[in-house]
Amino acid sequence: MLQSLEKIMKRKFLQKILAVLIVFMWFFSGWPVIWKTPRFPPKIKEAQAAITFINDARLPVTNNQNITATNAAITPPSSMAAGDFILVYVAIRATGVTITNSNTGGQSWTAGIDSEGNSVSYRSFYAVYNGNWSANPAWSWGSTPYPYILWMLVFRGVNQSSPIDAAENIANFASPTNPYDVTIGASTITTQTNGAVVVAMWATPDNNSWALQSGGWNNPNGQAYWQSSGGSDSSVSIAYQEQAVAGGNSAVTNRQTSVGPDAGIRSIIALKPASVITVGNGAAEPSNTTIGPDGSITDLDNFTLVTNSGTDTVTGATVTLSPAGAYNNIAQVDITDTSNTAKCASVTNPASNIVTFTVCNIPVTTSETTYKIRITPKTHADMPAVPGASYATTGTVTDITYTTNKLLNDTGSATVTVDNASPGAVSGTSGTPSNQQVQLNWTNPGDGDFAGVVVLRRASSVVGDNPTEGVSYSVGNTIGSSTVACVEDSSSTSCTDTGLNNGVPYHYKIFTKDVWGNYDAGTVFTGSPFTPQLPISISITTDGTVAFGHLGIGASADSSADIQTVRVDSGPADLNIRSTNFSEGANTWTLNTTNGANQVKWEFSKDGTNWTTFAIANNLYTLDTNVPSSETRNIYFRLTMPTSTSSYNQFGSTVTIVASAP
Amino acid sequence: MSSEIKRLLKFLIVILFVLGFVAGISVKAADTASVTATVTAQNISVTVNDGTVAYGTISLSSSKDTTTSGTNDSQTATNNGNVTENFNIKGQDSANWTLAATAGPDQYVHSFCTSNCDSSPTWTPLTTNYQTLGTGVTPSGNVVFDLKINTPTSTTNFTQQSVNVVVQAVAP
Repeated sequence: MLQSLEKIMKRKFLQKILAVLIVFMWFFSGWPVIWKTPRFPPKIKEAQAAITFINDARLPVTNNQNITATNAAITPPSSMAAGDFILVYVAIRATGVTITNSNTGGQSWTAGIDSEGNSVSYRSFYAVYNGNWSANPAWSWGSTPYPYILWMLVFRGVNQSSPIDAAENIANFASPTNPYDVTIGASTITTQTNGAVVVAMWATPDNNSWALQSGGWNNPNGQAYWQSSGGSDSSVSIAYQEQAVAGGNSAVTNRQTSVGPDAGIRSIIALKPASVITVGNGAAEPSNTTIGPDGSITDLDNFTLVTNSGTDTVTGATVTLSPAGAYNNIAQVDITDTSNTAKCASVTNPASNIVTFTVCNIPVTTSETTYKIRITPKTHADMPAVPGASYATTGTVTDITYTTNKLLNDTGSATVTVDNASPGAVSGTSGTPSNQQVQLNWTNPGDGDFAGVVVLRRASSVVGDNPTEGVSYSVGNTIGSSTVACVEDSSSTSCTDTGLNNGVPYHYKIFTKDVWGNYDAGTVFTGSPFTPQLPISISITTDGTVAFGHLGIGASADSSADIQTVRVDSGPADLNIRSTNFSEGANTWTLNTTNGANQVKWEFSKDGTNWTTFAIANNLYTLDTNVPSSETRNIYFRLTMPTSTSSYNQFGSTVTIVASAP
Repeated sequence: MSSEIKRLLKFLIVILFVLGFVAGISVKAADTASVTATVTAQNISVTVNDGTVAYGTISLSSSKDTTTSGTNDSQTATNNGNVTENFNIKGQDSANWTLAATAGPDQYVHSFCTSNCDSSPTWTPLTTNYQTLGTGVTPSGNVVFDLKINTPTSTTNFTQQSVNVVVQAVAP
């Protein structure tokens, strides 16, 4: 009964462990993606790895070496970097000795409590590596040679100004009983900082072998113990563990697996992780928006700052803008608090998308605080020239200047479109001059922010001026050598430029404008220049009819008895003349230079002497040129009948006099 | 349309566009006036209805006409042209008889009459030259005339003789 209950409990325990493992694996799998990029788990891992074990060195040189000395110098391990934390344990197989640092090696050492008990003298030392060893550091313990063990450990990521998170706790331990475990109990020390690393040490006056019994603890480089012998033996075992959450240390059990059991002395100490500032993305970003040249300062990004311990100050920052070229439209970038109070000296006219703030004063505490990146667009005058560009700008904090470590996790921002792009050009332009005016027509572009057009006019010369971006104009305004002829809103596709001088060729150019005040490069009207003029008019002062009556086949007759007269009512005018074929219903006499079957020779003259043949129907022939107003011109007609005809019905032809400006 | 023609058209369109652009299209005010000319070809035409006169067999030195007292077969010359016309008429010799102003041996007389032919006819002998049949005949107007034959006084041939009487239309 008791055994089956025990089995059930074991199975339930295993089930719980399995469930926890599954949840844990899922949590770190990154699937499904419920966090913004980068995913949350890697950042957690990065935060947990604040203090890392780098390397170690041990004396005697070989394990369980038969050696005695009064002092010993140790060769520091490789792979060290300035700022690394060095922890040295010295254990002497003797009592009544004082362990001291006899050669600093160029470092500044802090000594722990010189302790002894159970035939072991023990003392720890630590230093923050300054990057240069002047000599191998050495320790001494009086004038009598004793067996000894020196064990140097190197950690990285330890707070350099205050490396000890919980003071060393040293105690003797009695000879353990089977299974010869020596445990340092939970909460023997109280860690103050999340991520502190706890280091435990056991020393005995015998060359014991040791084996860690507690999970989550590590031996330096996997080395479970180190021994020396010299008539009187000794051993040291070291284990370390990161304490993710501040509080008491977790219990750690080390077992003497051979020789002994022996009483000894043990130590436990906690190393404080370097402060880490986390640049966070913030709970919410500002709203996406669009701004134009001359626009006001606008929130681009919210980010947060928080440190895992203490307080500090961010003295510089880097903001990275996107997309490429976004900086071109930006006059100033600011970092402020949520009350819009500047926290860094503004960066004006950034020269690239990497915006570096060299002067900041942003206090950072363990309380997460939100700050903002703000951008101010350039003025129209300072913006890149037409056609400019529009940038859907984003920006995040990609670096900070800070004393120790940082986690950069400002992953997103609002999108603030800074629109300096010219609107599209108009199309389908045309113009029609008339008396003292020109009517202009065009098709507007399809831009969503299209606001209207400005039309410039220049007499006798091509329009070489452009409207100034950001400036609104009225009809009649002067721009350089040009005059604003029309100002139309987005719904208009035509305008009439009035008050012009007849006979003057006027050049026109049309510029589109968007709601941000951006103009395009302009489009010259098709057909420009346009020359307004008085309307030309003419009239026939006679009856407008020439009736030849019946003419015999092949006969020829003229209208000298029925002279037609055209008058230029408003001119001057060039007079041209054309004629249709002669026709009657289904039958036609075509015009030609000679008569023939169903073909006539049809002529005109302005004096009845010099004749011009309508050789081709509807071709214009010159009657006279530059005929002044009020003058008239006679028109004579002569017809030579066809040599044969398909019809004896009456044929008719329409002669048209076309007046145009000379 | 061949691709070559298309290319040519495209080229011409481009050239026209460029010329228009460079020169500046001057859309100028203009006006027009028109004159209408009309003419009709003269049609001179005449028809004779029914166009056939059969005198039958006639004795020598005798006569016969187309009046109501004769064969009652008056002929109608009609202006079917489009202008006023004058009609002329002429006769001709037959195969064996000569057209003459008076009958004689193998000489016959062929006359025409245009007014009061049934009551008091005036017969004008035909010659081989045109003589006036009618004047100022308007389009669709007509001239009704009768013919009379006087047979020769003697003949060497007693077979049927056929002749044409020609009516001519001329412009006045």
